[in-house]
Amino acid sequence: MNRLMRHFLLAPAVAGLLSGQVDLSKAPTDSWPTYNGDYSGRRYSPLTKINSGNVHQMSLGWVYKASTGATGGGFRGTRVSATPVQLNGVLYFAVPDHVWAVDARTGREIWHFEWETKGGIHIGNRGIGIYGNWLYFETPDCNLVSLNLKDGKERWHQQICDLDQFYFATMAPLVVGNHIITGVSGDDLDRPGYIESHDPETGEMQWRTYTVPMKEGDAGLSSWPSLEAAQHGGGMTWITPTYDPELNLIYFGTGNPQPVIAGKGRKGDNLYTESIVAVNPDNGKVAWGYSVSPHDTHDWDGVETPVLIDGEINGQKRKLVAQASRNGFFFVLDRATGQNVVTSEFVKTNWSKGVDADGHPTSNPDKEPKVDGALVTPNQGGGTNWYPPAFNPDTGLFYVNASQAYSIYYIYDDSEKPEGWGGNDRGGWQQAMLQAVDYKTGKVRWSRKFEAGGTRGGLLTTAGKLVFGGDPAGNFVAFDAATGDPLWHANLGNNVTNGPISYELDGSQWVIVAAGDTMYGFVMNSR
Amino acid sequence: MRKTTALCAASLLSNSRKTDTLRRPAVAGFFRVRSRAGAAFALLTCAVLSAQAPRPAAPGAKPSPPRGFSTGPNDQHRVDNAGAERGKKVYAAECITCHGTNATGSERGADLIRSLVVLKDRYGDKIGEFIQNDHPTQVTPAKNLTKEQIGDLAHWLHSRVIGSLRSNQDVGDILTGNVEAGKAFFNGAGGCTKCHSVTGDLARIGRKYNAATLQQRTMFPNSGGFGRRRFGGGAPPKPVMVTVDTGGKSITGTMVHLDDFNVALRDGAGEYHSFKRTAQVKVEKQDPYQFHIDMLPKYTDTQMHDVVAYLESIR
Repeated sequence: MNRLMRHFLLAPAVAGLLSGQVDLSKAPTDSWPTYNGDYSGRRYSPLTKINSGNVHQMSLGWVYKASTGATGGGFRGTRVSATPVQLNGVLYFAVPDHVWAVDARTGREIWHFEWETKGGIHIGNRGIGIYGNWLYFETPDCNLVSLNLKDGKERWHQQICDLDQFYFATMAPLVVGNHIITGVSGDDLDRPGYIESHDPETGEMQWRTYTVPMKEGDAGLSSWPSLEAAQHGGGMTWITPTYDPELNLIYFGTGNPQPVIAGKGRKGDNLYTESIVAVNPDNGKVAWGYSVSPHDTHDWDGVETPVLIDGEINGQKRKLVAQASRNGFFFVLDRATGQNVVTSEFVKTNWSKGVDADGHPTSNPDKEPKVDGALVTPNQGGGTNWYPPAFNPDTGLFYVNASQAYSIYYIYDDSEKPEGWGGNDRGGWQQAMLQAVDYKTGKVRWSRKFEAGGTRGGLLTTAGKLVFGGDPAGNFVAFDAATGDPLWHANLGNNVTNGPISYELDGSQWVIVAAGDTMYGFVMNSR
Repeated sequence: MRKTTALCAASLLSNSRKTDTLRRPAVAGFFRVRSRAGAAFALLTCAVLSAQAPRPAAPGAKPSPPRGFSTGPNDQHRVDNAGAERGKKVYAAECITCHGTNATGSERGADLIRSLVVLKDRYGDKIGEFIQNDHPTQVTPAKNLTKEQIGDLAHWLHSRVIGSLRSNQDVGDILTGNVEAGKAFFNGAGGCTKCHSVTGDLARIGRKYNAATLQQRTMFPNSGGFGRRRFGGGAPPKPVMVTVDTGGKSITGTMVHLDDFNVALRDGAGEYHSFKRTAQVKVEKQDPYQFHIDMLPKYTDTQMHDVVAYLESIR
């Protein structure tokens, strides 16, 4: 405990770095201080003590079972989908209504905070954010809660959405300067999506930016049949944004338009739903938006992490942002301007007629949901989903857990103004695969196909020439980053459910991963 | 229609029991309706089923977090079906002209499903206050509605909101295909007769499943369809077989497990065998439904609807 206390006392100095005083474009090696490890969203660790030559010797260091007391299905059982944050030797992570601090060396619990819920969808929690001595997380009943890092005691909570409108909240907050950036979920009723910034000390809202037009004159209004349709147009914000400190822009993906499947009452491109949007974190002003799925009718949220790549296209250095989107398409954009650089398929799809001059996939009306059904790939789960991808600058490959999946999309309400869920898909068959995409061309360099469907975990890549991720049989696997060959695995008895992380402590490199309610610490022991 | 009522009523009964058994999440296809009128009735009848009401906790026990989609606030309005039926009449008399048949509004009146007054309301408190003090026309609806009428109206409007949630609507008429074209596809390009016969394994198939389930199971034989017989209740799916050749010795059996590292099977005598996969071990998987999987990228929607229409006609 004394040792732990010493770490906490050191915390202010280190945590100060998180409040915008250092460039988190490069992942620190002794910590994993934010959802994506750094601001870029690459989930690339520069550590090499675990590498393709020795990973077969990696061993289990500890196991921690997160217990909420809840059991059963329907989102009630405990599933860690949060990427843990590690700072000063302590791991912090959350599931809906619960946060834990766990010793990163031993897997022993330090504290556990439970939030008394007033409702909301308990589908998942993606993790926490840290500023100074304080931790921030979102709850299913629409609160941003701040806890004291040292003991998990609540400091304050602030409402960030309205439960009566069936919003809920899952996103791991992003800390940029003195801004706690929050996002919201909720596509049951037809409500507008938005992101907010909050004061880290008081929780007061600094700004709110809607993802859809809310008044006359707002950008994108002409992509909706009416202001009323736009104001109820969805576009939720439930995955942690990335951030470019030089451009001072945060990048986030937006969710499906509303009404979600039955789109007859919202003709048009429905901006900025299912888009990558760049926003100034100081004032919430939108710099640009790019639709990855104009007028989607398949529930293909475009929220997947927009990964920042400092790359080279045709011999020119470029500041890029890349997304493998739920609709099966891979996008590379210029992140200063939003101009399209690459659009490609990372899994085979059948819903698009092709790509227009600006790289937007064009929807095929025949594959929109029908009363008698339309056979579509990917299914509603998507070519991928929220689980974090990874980018390795050494191989130039963008890694994504993907799915080739078919289902039949039905319209249930074919009236002129359907609302809410006037349709749905019904599955289906799927096959899971790990795809490695060349960001310069969008071509799939290698593909590792699994024997079944159902992988819903994230990825980590390292300078040790490795990619870590799960397969659909409960194996946690280290793949060769260049070839996709599996080099090490351990069956965890449950599929990987979060994004793995890595850090070095006491001279040893660790890899941390969660499967269901259990977190595992793997380590390459040093002598 | 009668089936629908019975199913939903049964669900309501099971929901009212304070047990810890897993409550079935509300899923589309739990009931099957064909007509719009039927759908409206089913929505009402099943409103409580999908409202996902948390059960009262035992004294001293922590309330369980809500489960499933569309949960909303714990203290949300719970629809009373009889009240909603009465409220529907109040709505028809007082509100329908401006707010529309489906309460989704018109040029003369607001969309009430999307109304914050309705979403914030509990048992008529906000709706009543609004009608009394803030309603723009003040005359229609009449200010002299009784408290009971307002309460009933609230039940009706909340049932409309709940009816718009996912899982609360169901599939329509999917039988749009051409029987003759489907027959030609079945016997020709579809390749169905390689394994199937409408006088053999598929005899009377049109009676066995409802049309929407038939469509789902034609495309995805191992997945469910819609309604009470969504899995058909027929023979269990054929198992995936696997042959493992360890170099000189070959063994075939029912596949128990297969991943990149290991394979396990149960042989004809019921013995379990497990192998590590190496370069020397050859594994051949035989999925009896592989042809269906291979067909998925080839089917046009027209072919799908035609073959389903043909199979539905085999009665």
